[in-house]
Amino acid sequence: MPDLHLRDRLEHEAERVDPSPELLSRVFAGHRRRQVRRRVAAFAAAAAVTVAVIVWLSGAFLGSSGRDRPATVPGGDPLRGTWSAVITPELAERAGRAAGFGDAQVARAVERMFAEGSPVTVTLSFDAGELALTSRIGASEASSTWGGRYQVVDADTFVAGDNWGLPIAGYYLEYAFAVDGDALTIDLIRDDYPTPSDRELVGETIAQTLTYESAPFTRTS
Amino acid sequence: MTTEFRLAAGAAPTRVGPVADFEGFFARESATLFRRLWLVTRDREEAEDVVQEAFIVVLERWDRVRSMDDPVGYLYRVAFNAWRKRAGRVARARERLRLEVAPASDDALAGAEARTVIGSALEALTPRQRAALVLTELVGMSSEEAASALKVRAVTVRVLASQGRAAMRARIGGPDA
Repeated sequence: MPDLHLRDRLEHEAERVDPSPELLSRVFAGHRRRQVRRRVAAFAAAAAVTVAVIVWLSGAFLGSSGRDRPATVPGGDPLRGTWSAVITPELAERAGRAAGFGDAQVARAVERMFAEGSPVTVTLSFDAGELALTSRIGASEASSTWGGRYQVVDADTFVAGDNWGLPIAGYYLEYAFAVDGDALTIDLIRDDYPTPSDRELVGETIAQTLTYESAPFTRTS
Repeated sequence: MTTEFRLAAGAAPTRVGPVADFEGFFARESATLFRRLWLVTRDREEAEDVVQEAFIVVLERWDRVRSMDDPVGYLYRVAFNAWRKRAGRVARARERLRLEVAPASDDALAGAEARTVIGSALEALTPRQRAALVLTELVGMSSEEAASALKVRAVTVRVLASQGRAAMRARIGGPDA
Protein backbone atom coordinates (compact mmCIF):
# COMPACT_ATOMS: atom_id res chain seq x y z
CA MET A 1 0.00 0.00 0.00
CA PRO A 2 1.65 3.27 -1.05
CA ASP A 3 2.41 5.68 1.76
CA LEU A 4 1.32 9.02 0.26
CA HIS A 5 2.92 11.08 3.01
CA LEU A 6 6.26 9.36 2.54
CA ARG A 7 5.97 9.45 -1.23
CA ASP A 8 5.34 13.21 -1.21
CA ARG A 9 8.30 13.78 1.08
CA LEU A 10 10.54 11.68 -1.14
CA GLU A 11 9.35 13.44 -4.30
CA HIS A 12 9.95 16.78 -2.65
CA GLU A 13 13.44 15.73 -1.61
CA ALA A 14 14.21 14.51 -5.14
CA GLU A 15 13.11 17.83 -6.65
CA ARG A 16 16.10 19.48 -5.00
CA VAL A 17 18.51 18.27 -7.65
CA ASP A 18 18.69 18.52 -11.43
CA PRO A 19 20.87 16.51 -13.77
CA SER A 20 23.72 18.17 -15.60
CA PRO A 21 22.64 19.79 -18.89
CA GLU A 22 25.51 17.92 -20.58
CA LEU A 23 24.05 14.55 -19.76
CA LEU A 24 22.55 13.92 -23.21
CA SER A 25 25.81 14.73 -24.98
CA ARG A 26 27.59 12.42 -22.52
CA VAL A 27 25.19 9.65 -23.52
CA PHE A 28 25.90 10.15 -27.22
CA ALA A 29 29.64 10.39 -26.57
CA GLY A 30 29.58 7.20 -24.49
CA HIS A 31 27.58 5.46 -27.20
CA ARG A 32 30.17 6.46 -29.84
CA ARG A 33 33.03 5.27 -27.61
CA ARG A 34 31.36 1.87 -27.26
CA GLN A 35 30.85 1.59 -31.00
CA VAL A 36 34.54 2.38 -31.60
CA ARG A 37 35.61 -0.14 -28.95
CA ARG A 38 33.44 -2.81 -30.58
CA ARG A 39 34.87 -2.08 -34.03
CA VAL A 40 38.40 -2.27 -32.63
CA ALA A 41 37.54 -5.54 -30.88
CA ALA A 42 36.00 -6.95 -34.07
CA PHE A 43 39.06 -5.89 -36.05
CA ALA A 44 41.38 -7.43 -33.46
CA ALA A 45 39.36 -10.66 -33.50
CA ALA A 46 39.45 -10.76 -37.30
CA ALA A 47 43.18 -10.12 -37.23
CA ALA A 48 43.64 -12.89 -34.66
CA VAL A 49 41.69 -15.31 -36.84
CA THR A 50 43.73 -14.33 -39.87
CA VAL A 51 46.96 -14.95 -37.97
CA ALA A 52 45.62 -18.25 -36.66
CA VAL A 53 44.67 -19.35 -40.18
CA ILE A 54 48.11 -18.39 -41.50
CA VAL A 55 49.80 -20.28 -38.66
CA TRP A 56 47.59 -23.29 -39.23
CA LEU A 57 48.19 -23.27 -42.99
CA SER A 58 51.93 -22.93 -42.58
CA GLY A 59 51.85 -25.82 -40.11
CA ALA A 60 49.90 -27.90 -42.62
CA PHE A 61 52.31 -27.12 -45.46
CA LEU A 62 55.36 -27.76 -43.31
CA GLY A 63 53.98 -31.07 -42.13
CA SER A 64 53.86 -29.90 -38.53
CA SER A 65 51.98 -32.05 -36.09
CA GLY A 66 50.68 -28.88 -34.48
CA ARG A 67 47.31 -29.21 -36.23
CA ASP A 68 46.65 -32.44 -34.36
CA ARG A 69 46.81 -30.68 -31.04
CA PRO A 70 43.48 -29.50 -29.69
CA ALA A 71 42.91 -25.75 -29.67
CA THR A 72 43.35 -24.26 -26.22
CA VAL A 73 41.59 -21.28 -24.74
CA PRO A 74 43.40 -19.41 -21.97
CA GLY A 75 41.86 -20.57 -18.72
CA GLY A 76 39.79 -23.16 -20.60
CA ASP A 77 36.32 -22.77 -22.05
CA PRO A 78 33.89 -22.56 -19.14
CA LEU A 79 30.92 -23.19 -21.43
CA ARG A 80 32.19 -26.37 -23.03
CA GLY A 81 29.73 -29.22 -22.49
CA THR A 82 26.01 -29.78 -22.68
CA TRP A 83 23.49 -27.83 -20.62
CA SER A 84 19.73 -28.19 -20.35
CA ALA A 85 16.87 -26.15 -18.98
CA VAL A 86 13.21 -27.01 -18.71
CA ILE A 87 11.03 -24.04 -19.60
CA THR A 88 7.37 -23.71 -18.76
CA PRO A 89 5.03 -21.02 -20.11
CA GLU A 90 5.02 -19.38 -16.66
CA LEU A 91 8.83 -19.16 -16.55
CA ALA A 92 8.97 -17.85 -20.11
CA GLU A 93 6.33 -15.23 -19.38
CA ARG A 94 8.21 -14.06 -16.30
CA ALA A 95 11.49 -13.83 -18.25
CA GLY A 96 9.87 -11.83 -21.03
CA ARG A 97 8.34 -9.36 -18.63
CA ALA A 98 11.52 -9.09 -16.58
CA ALA A 99 13.38 -8.16 -19.78
CA GLY A 100 11.01 -5.27 -20.34
CA PHE A 101 8.76 -6.56 -23.08
CA GLY A 102 5.10 -5.70 -22.90
CA ASP A 103 2.36 -8.07 -21.81
CA ALA A 104 0.95 -8.46 -25.32
CA GLN A 105 4.36 -9.05 -26.90
CA VAL A 106 5.25 -11.63 -24.27
CA ALA A 107 1.88 -13.36 -24.57
CA ARG A 108 2.29 -13.74 -28.34
CA ALA A 109 5.84 -15.06 -28.00
CA VAL A 110 4.88 -17.54 -25.29
CA GLU A 111 1.95 -18.74 -27.36
CA ARG A 112 4.27 -19.38 -30.33
CA MET A 113 6.94 -21.03 -28.19
CA PHE A 114 4.51 -23.45 -26.57
CA ALA A 115 2.15 -23.90 -29.51
CA GLU A 116 2.89 -27.61 -29.64
CA GLY A 117 2.78 -28.24 -25.93
CA SER A 118 4.82 -27.73 -22.82
CA PRO A 119 7.17 -27.87 -21.07
CA VAL A 120 10.04 -27.32 -23.50
CA THR A 121 13.49 -28.68 -22.71
CA VAL A 122 16.18 -26.52 -24.25
CA THR A 123 19.63 -28.04 -24.61
CA LEU A 124 22.77 -26.09 -25.44
CA SER A 125 25.82 -27.90 -26.64
CA PHE A 126 29.04 -25.87 -26.61
CA ASP A 127 31.92 -27.65 -28.25
CA ALA A 128 35.11 -26.07 -29.54
CA GLY A 129 33.48 -22.96 -30.92
CA GLU A 130 30.33 -24.68 -32.17
CA LEU A 131 27.04 -24.03 -30.45
CA ALA A 132 24.04 -26.27 -31.10
CA LEU A 133 20.64 -25.53 -29.62
CA THR A 134 18.00 -28.24 -29.56
CA SER A 135 14.57 -28.28 -28.04
CA ARG A 136 12.28 -31.05 -26.97
CA ILE A 137 8.58 -30.71 -26.25
CA GLY A 138 7.41 -32.90 -23.40
CA ALA A 139 8.75 -36.41 -23.98
CA SER A 140 9.05 -36.04 -27.76
CA GLU A 141 12.30 -36.34 -29.67
CA ALA A 142 14.67 -33.37 -29.58
CA SER A 143 14.91 -31.27 -32.71
CA SER A 144 17.57 -28.82 -33.79
CA THR A 145 16.53 -25.22 -33.22
CA TRP A 146 19.68 -23.27 -34.00
CA GLY A 147 23.31 -23.93 -34.78
CA GLY A 148 26.26 -21.65 -35.21
CA ARG A 149 29.56 -20.57 -33.81
CA TYR A 150 30.34 -19.00 -30.47
CA GLN A 151 33.32 -17.36 -28.87
CA VAL A 152 33.99 -16.66 -25.21
CA VAL A 153 34.99 -13.01 -25.04
CA ASP A 154 35.81 -12.73 -21.36
CA ALA A 155 34.96 -14.28 -18.01
CA ASP A 156 31.28 -13.47 -18.32
CA THR A 157 30.56 -12.73 -21.97
CA PHE A 158 30.25 -14.80 -25.09
CA VAL A 159 29.17 -13.95 -28.62
CA ALA A 160 27.45 -16.19 -31.13
CA GLY A 161 26.14 -16.16 -34.64
CA ASP A 162 25.32 -18.37 -37.54
CA ASN A 163 27.24 -17.63 -40.68
CA TRP A 164 24.74 -15.74 -42.83
CA GLY A 165 27.53 -15.74 -45.38
CA LEU A 166 29.44 -13.45 -43.04
CA PRO A 167 32.90 -13.94 -41.56
CA ILE A 168 33.62 -13.37 -37.86
CA ALA A 169 31.54 -10.20 -37.85
CA GLY A 170 28.58 -12.58 -38.02
CA TYR A 171 28.63 -12.83 -34.22
CA TYR A 172 25.43 -10.84 -33.99
CA LEU A 173 24.44 -12.15 -30.58
CA GLU A 174 26.10 -11.22 -27.29
CA TYR A 175 25.30 -12.83 -23.97
CA ALA A 176 26.40 -12.45 -20.36
CA PHE A 177 26.87 -15.76 -18.62
CA ALA A 178 27.73 -17.10 -15.18
CA VAL A 179 28.71 -20.63 -14.30
CA ASP A 180 28.15 -21.70 -10.72
CA GLY A 181 29.06 -25.35 -10.31
CA ASP A 182 26.72 -27.22 -12.62
CA ALA A 183 24.42 -24.25 -13.13
CA LEU A 184 24.69 -21.84 -16.04
CA THR A 185 22.72 -18.61 -16.28
CA ILE A 186 22.64 -16.63 -19.49
CA ASP A 187 21.35 -13.14 -20.22
CA LEU A 188 20.96 -11.70 -23.68
CA ILE A 189 22.90 -8.45 -24.03
CA ARG A 190 22.69 -7.71 -27.73
CA ASP A 191 20.84 -9.18 -30.66
CA ASP A 192 21.74 -7.60 -33.98
CA TYR A 193 19.97 -10.23 -36.04
CA PRO A 194 20.41 -9.04 -39.62
CA THR A 195 16.90 -8.14 -40.66
CA PRO A 196 15.54 -4.85 -41.93
CA SER A 197 12.24 -5.38 -40.15
CA ASP A 198 11.82 -3.92 -36.64
CA ARG A 199 8.94 -6.25 -36.01
CA GLU A 200 10.94 -9.32 -36.89
CA LEU A 201 13.83 -8.10 -34.79
CA VAL A 202 11.60 -7.64 -31.76
CA GLY A 203 10.22 -11.14 -32.29
CA GLU A 204 13.74 -12.52 -32.56
CA THR A 205 14.86 -10.69 -29.42
CA ILE A 206 11.90 -11.93 -27.40
CA ALA A 207 12.49 -15.49 -28.61
CA GLN A 208 16.16 -15.26 -27.62
CA THR A 209 15.21 -13.85 -24.22
CA LEU A 210 12.67 -16.56 -23.49
CA THR A 211 15.04 -19.30 -24.63
CA TYR A 212 18.05 -18.21 -22.61
CA GLU A 213 16.69 -16.29 -19.63
CA SER A 214 13.64 -18.29 -18.54
CA ALA A 215 15.50 -20.78 -16.37
CA PRO A 216 19.06 -21.62 -15.38
CA PHE A 217 20.70 -24.39 -17.38
CA THR A 218 22.09 -27.48 -15.69
CA ARG A 219 25.18 -29.28 -16.94
CA THR A 220 24.33 -32.70 -18.32
CA SER A 221 27.75 -33.56 -19.70
CA MET B 1 21.01 0.34 -35.55
CA THR B 2 19.12 2.27 -38.13
CA THR B 3 19.66 5.65 -36.50
CA GLU B 4 19.84 8.51 -38.96
CA PHE B 5 21.87 11.69 -38.87
CA ARG B 6 21.33 14.54 -41.31
CA LEU B 7 23.93 17.29 -41.57
CA ALA B 8 22.77 20.79 -42.39
CA ALA B 9 25.45 22.70 -44.30
CA GLY B 10 27.83 24.35 -41.87
CA ALA B 11 25.52 23.73 -38.95
CA ALA B 12 25.37 21.42 -35.99
CA PRO B 13 23.93 17.99 -36.81
CA THR B 14 20.15 17.89 -36.91
CA ARG B 15 18.89 14.57 -35.73
CA VAL B 16 15.85 13.05 -37.34
CA GLY B 17 13.92 9.80 -37.12
CA PRO B 18 14.80 7.37 -34.36
CA VAL B 19 17.45 9.63 -32.84
CA ALA B 20 14.96 12.47 -32.46
CA ASP B 21 12.63 9.92 -30.89
CA PHE B 22 15.35 8.91 -28.48
CA GLU B 23 16.08 12.52 -27.59
CA GLY B 24 12.42 13.03 -26.81
CA PHE B 25 12.42 9.97 -24.59
CA PHE B 26 15.56 11.23 -22.88
CA ALA B 27 14.02 14.68 -22.35
CA ARG B 28 10.91 13.13 -20.80
CA GLU B 29 12.54 10.59 -18.55
CA SER B 30 16.11 11.54 -17.68
CA ALA B 31 15.51 14.12 -14.94
CA THR B 32 13.03 11.93 -13.07
CA LEU B 33 15.29 8.90 -13.35
CA PHE B 34 18.26 10.97 -12.18
CA ARG B 35 16.39 12.31 -9.16
CA ARG B 36 15.20 8.89 -8.13
CA LEU B 37 18.67 7.46 -8.49
CA TRP B 38 20.01 10.34 -6.45
CA LEU B 39 17.67 9.34 -3.65
CA VAL B 40 19.16 5.86 -3.82
CA THR B 41 22.83 6.66 -4.32
CA ARG B 42 22.91 9.93 -2.31
CA ASP B 43 25.67 10.90 -4.71
CA ARG B 44 25.06 13.22 -7.63
CA GLU B 45 27.91 11.98 -9.81
CA GLU B 46 27.10 8.38 -9.16
CA ALA B 47 23.44 9.00 -10.07
CA GLU B 48 24.46 10.78 -13.30
CA ASP B 49 26.83 7.98 -14.23
CA VAL B 50 24.10 5.41 -13.79
CA VAL B 51 21.64 7.49 -15.83
CA GLN B 52 24.26 7.84 -18.55
CA GLU B 53 24.98 4.11 -18.54
CA ALA B 54 21.28 3.24 -18.69
CA PHE B 55 20.55 5.61 -21.57
CA ILE B 56 23.56 4.33 -23.53
CA VAL B 57 22.13 0.82 -23.26
CA VAL B 58 18.70 2.09 -24.30
CA LEU B 59 20.22 4.03 -27.22
CA GLU B 60 22.07 0.92 -28.39
CA ARG B 61 18.80 -0.99 -28.41
CA TRP B 62 16.53 1.91 -29.30
CA ASP B 63 15.07 0.26 -32.38
CA ARG B 64 13.73 -2.45 -30.12
CA VAL B 65 13.05 -0.43 -26.98
CA ARG B 66 10.84 2.07 -28.83
CA SER B 67 8.63 -0.83 -29.93
CA MET B 68 8.16 -2.10 -26.38
CA ASP B 69 4.87 -1.62 -24.60
CA ASP B 70 6.67 -0.19 -21.56
CA PRO B 71 9.98 1.44 -22.53
CA VAL B 72 10.06 3.40 -19.28
CA GLY B 73 9.85 0.21 -17.24
CA TYR B 74 12.68 -1.18 -19.32
CA LEU B 75 14.74 1.98 -18.68
CA TYR B 76 14.29 1.64 -14.92
CA ARG B 77 15.19 -2.04 -14.99
CA VAL B 78 18.36 -1.29 -16.94
CA ALA B 79 19.23 1.63 -14.68
CA PHE B 80 18.73 -0.17 -11.39
CA ASN B 81 20.56 -3.20 -12.70
CA ALA B 82 23.46 -0.93 -13.68
CA TRP B 83 23.35 0.70 -10.24
CA ARG B 84 23.37 -2.72 -8.58
CA LYS B 85 26.42 -3.80 -10.58
CA ARG B 86 28.25 -0.54 -9.92
CA ALA B 87 27.43 -0.46 -6.23
CA GLY B 88 29.91 -3.20 -5.37
CA ARG B 89 32.68 -1.64 -7.45
CA VAL B 90 32.05 1.83 -6.05
CA ALA B 91 32.08 0.54 -2.48
CA ARG B 92 35.38 -1.20 -3.08
CA ALA B 93 36.88 1.88 -4.75
CA ARG B 94 35.73 4.10 -1.90
CA GLU B 95 37.22 1.69 0.58
CA ARG B 96 40.57 1.96 -1.21
CA LEU B 97 40.31 5.74 -1.33
CA ARG B 98 39.52 5.87 2.35
CA LEU B 99 42.74 4.03 3.01
CA GLU B 100 44.80 6.25 0.73
CA VAL B 101 43.30 9.73 1.07
CA ALA B 102 42.01 11.65 4.05
CA PRO B 103 38.38 12.69 3.58
CA ALA B 104 38.09 16.25 2.25
CA SER B 105 34.77 16.91 3.94
CA ASP B 106 32.43 15.07 6.21
CA ASP B 107 29.52 16.02 3.99
CA ALA B 108 29.36 14.83 0.41
CA LEU B 109 26.09 16.70 -0.07
CA ALA B 110 27.31 20.24 0.26
CA GLY B 111 25.67 23.52 -0.78
CA ALA B 112 22.24 23.19 -2.35
CA GLU B 113 22.26 19.50 -1.54
CA ALA B 114 22.78 20.02 2.18
CA ARG B 115 21.08 17.39 4.22
CA THR B 116 17.41 17.71 5.03
CA VAL B 117 15.55 15.70 7.62
CA ILE B 118 14.33 13.30 4.97
CA GLY B 119 17.77 13.20 3.37
CA SER B 120 19.34 12.19 6.66
CA ALA B 121 16.64 9.62 7.18
CA LEU B 122 17.33 8.18 3.74
CA GLU B 123 21.05 8.02 4.42
CA ALA B 124 20.38 5.99 7.55
CA LEU B 125 18.92 3.24 5.33
CA THR B 126 20.99 0.69 3.45
CA PRO B 127 21.34 1.28 -0.31
CA ARG B 128 19.14 -1.75 -1.00
CA GLN B 129 16.43 -0.46 1.33
CA ARG B 130 16.54 2.90 -0.44
CA ALA B 131 16.33 1.20 -3.85
CA ALA B 132 13.38 -0.96 -2.80
CA LEU B 133 11.62 2.06 -1.32
CA VAL B 134 12.18 4.27 -4.37
CA LEU B 135 11.12 1.59 -6.85
CA THR B 136 7.96 0.65 -5.01
CA GLU B 137 6.92 4.05 -3.59
CA LEU B 138 8.00 6.46 -6.31
CA VAL B 139 8.35 4.48 -9.51
CA GLY B 140 5.23 2.51 -8.65
CA MET B 141 6.66 -0.91 -9.41
CA SER B 142 5.16 -4.01 -7.88
CA SER B 143 7.50 -5.96 -5.63
CA GLU B 144 7.84 -8.51 -8.46
CA GLU B 145 8.90 -5.82 -10.93
CA ALA B 146 11.30 -4.26 -8.44
CA ALA B 147 12.70 -7.71 -7.70
CA SER B 148 13.43 -8.18 -11.37
CA ALA B 149 15.27 -4.83 -11.50
CA LEU B 150 17.28 -5.53 -8.36
CA LYS B 151 17.85 -9.23 -9.11
CA VAL B 152 16.47 -10.35 -5.78
CA ARG B 153 13.34 -12.21 -4.79
CA ALA B 154 10.03 -10.34 -4.52
CA VAL B 155 9.77 -11.22 -0.86
CA THR B 156 13.16 -9.58 -0.32
CA VAL B 157 11.90 -6.38 -1.92
CA ARG B 158 8.83 -6.41 0.31
CA VAL B 159 10.98 -6.86 3.39
CA LEU B 160 13.49 -4.17 2.35
CA ALA B 161 10.77 -1.68 1.45
CA SER B 162 8.88 -2.37 4.65
CA GLN B 163 12.03 -1.93 6.76
CA GLY B 164 12.83 1.26 4.86
CA ARG B 165 9.33 2.67 5.36
CA ALA B 166 9.35 1.87 9.05
CA ALA B 167 12.77 3.47 9.58
CA MET B 168 11.76 6.56 7.60
CA ARG B 169 8.52 6.96 9.53
CA ALA B 170 10.38 6.64 12.81
CA ARG B 171 12.68 9.49 11.78
CA ILE B 172 10.37 11.85 9.93
CA GLY B 173 6.99 10.96 11.31
CA GLY B 174 4.03 9.76 9.28
CA PRO B 175 0.79 7.83 9.48
CA ASP B 176 2.09 5.02 11.67
CA ALA B 177 5.04 6.74 13.31
